[in-house]
Amino acid sequence: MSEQKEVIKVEHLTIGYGESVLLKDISFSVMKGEIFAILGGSGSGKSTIIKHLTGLHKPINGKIFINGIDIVTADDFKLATLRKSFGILYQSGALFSSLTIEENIALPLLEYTTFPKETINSIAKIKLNTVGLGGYEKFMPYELSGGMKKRAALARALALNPEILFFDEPSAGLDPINSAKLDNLILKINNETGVTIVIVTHELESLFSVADRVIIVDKKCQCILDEGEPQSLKGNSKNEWVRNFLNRKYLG
Amino acid sequence: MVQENKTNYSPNGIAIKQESDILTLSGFDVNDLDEASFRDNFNYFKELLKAKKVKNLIIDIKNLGPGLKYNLSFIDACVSFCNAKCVKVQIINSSHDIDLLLKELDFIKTHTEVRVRHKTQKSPSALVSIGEGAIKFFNDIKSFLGFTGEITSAMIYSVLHPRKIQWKETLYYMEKTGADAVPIVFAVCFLTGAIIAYQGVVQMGRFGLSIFTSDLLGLAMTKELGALMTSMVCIGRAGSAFAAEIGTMQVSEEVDAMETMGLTTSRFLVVPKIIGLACVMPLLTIIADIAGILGGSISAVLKGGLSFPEFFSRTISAITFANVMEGVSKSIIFAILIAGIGCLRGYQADRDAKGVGRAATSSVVSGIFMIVVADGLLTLVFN
Ligand SMILES: Nc1ncnc2c1ncn2[C@@H]1O[C@H](COP(=O)(O)OP(=O)(O)O)[C@@H](O)[C@H]1O
Ligand SMILES: [Mg+2]
Repeated sequence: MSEQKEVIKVEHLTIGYGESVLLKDISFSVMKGEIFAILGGSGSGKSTIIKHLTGLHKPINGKIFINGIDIVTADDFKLATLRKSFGILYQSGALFSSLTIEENIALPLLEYTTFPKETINSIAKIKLNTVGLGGYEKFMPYELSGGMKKRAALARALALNPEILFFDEPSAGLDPINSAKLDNLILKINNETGVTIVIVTHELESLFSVADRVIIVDKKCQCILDEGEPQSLKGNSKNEWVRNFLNRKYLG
Repeated sequence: MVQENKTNYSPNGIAIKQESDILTLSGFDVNDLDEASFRDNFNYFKELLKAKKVKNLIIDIKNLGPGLKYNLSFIDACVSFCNAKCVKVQIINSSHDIDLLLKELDFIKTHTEVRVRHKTQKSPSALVSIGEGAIKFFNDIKSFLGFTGEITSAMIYSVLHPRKIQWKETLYYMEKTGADAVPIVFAVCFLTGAIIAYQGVVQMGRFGLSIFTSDLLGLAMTKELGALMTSMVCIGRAGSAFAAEIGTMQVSEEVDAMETMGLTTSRFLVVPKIIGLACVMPLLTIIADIAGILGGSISAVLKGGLSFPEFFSRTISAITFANVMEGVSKSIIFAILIAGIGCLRGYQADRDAKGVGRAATSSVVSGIFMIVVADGLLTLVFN
């Protein structure tokens, strides 16, 4: 990467719900334009990290900077402005079930832009084409298959040309073919637009095919076990568990 | 049957020994259980524990290897069962490997937790219960006030920016909670009117005053019962549906998605529901008034010997426009309360399938409570 600009910077972050701490004193940075993965067992707090990065929850301790703005202390207005530059794809897709696919994608555009209706519709159409769902504008979310729902949600996430895209286990519940399709789509979007991507995953397949860098979080030590490029961690991580896991030697 | 101080063997070779109130399980090193023997052994164990007054369970896991998976889960099941029955459990002779494994499985931790929880469940002192109840009540009020503030600001924003109101959604809710509710509101109020008029005719008829039933019915329906009965129907139909809808959106992360996209969910999810219900409930209330009077006229004519023209002319002269408006304006306030409570309960839903059901139930319970309280206060205000 030519320019090493930190888009997200996390310092000594401690997160959890109420009294119970999930991860303690973790620090990492995400560089501009890279695909950054968060790997870990279920319940280790990966989704919680995303919720903190997007400002939905306040941390117990520590700092989070996005483009240099401290989002922990930022007021609602600053946060709202910042969030317009986020796109997010949830585990379940989270399409709004009472709206058509087109209206789902149009919603953020209607809210944040003053484009006339025709422009908004054509943007929705273009975004749907990008994710390979041209022609499904008038469908309702429940009429689409799981993989299509995820891609429609991705189109919605792309609607405002975000700077940072968050993915929470995008391939959860997808068959290998559809999940490989989604991985290719993620790579393509990253290549074409240079958007920074933070992706939570537990699938090695997608990890090796998309991620530039990865952190591995663990529930027991409540910490980051290791951090680096997936391929090099596979060969020589300082942590034995990580090496075994990446080489699929983990039993159970 | 097992006799005291004797070792007995359960159906599949696990040794079970009982000394006074101590039961000892051992022999887990021999071979692994299979599905059938697991069930047999466990049933046998449960019966023993029920039949005898066992207070302590000692599990000897000498030579139990990590490979014996069914034995492990058998022990797990036994320990859980003992925890539920308040029997103390002790595990002895475990090797280092097994210790690690048990730790890995959170075995020790979960079981001690269960025991602690059980203790507190057994003897909740009255003071603690009252205190906890009070804290819950105040937290409830706190979140209610916070929510009220949020909704108020969303409503004000919507009034100032009517273009940003989700009109399509609002119309949808008007249809669902209004048009679709007409038959049930009509039926309920028709019967209510009939029942009240019947009582009126019977009771007042004894003094030869059955004609006054029309006054009673007209005023009761328009001032109170029309709005109240409509509210009850709307709590059951609309309030619970709102709670379930928002609760489901919580489960499927749709609410999170909206918040992350910077969309104020109160404006998108709550405002259309409140506006929708507040528009249709006054109309439903008028329908309810009419239905009640129609129902009452049937009773009055059949039982009280009045004629229809007599009854209606008397009713119409008894009701004033102000009476009708009293019920109608109450219904607007009730509508806001019902929609608000439904949405609040939806937001508070736990993020699992049961959470949605609980949210719907609690929206109905708190809805009824709020309406009755509000009706009392409003009646004071209007008189
Ligand atoms: N809203 C919440 N309130 C309390 N606990 C939660 C909440 N959301 C998640 N948790 C708990 O936090 C832990 C981590 O959850 P999560 O971040 O979703 O894990 P992951 O995404 O890595 O599977 C889980 O044990 C979960 O039960
Ligand atoms: Mg998760």
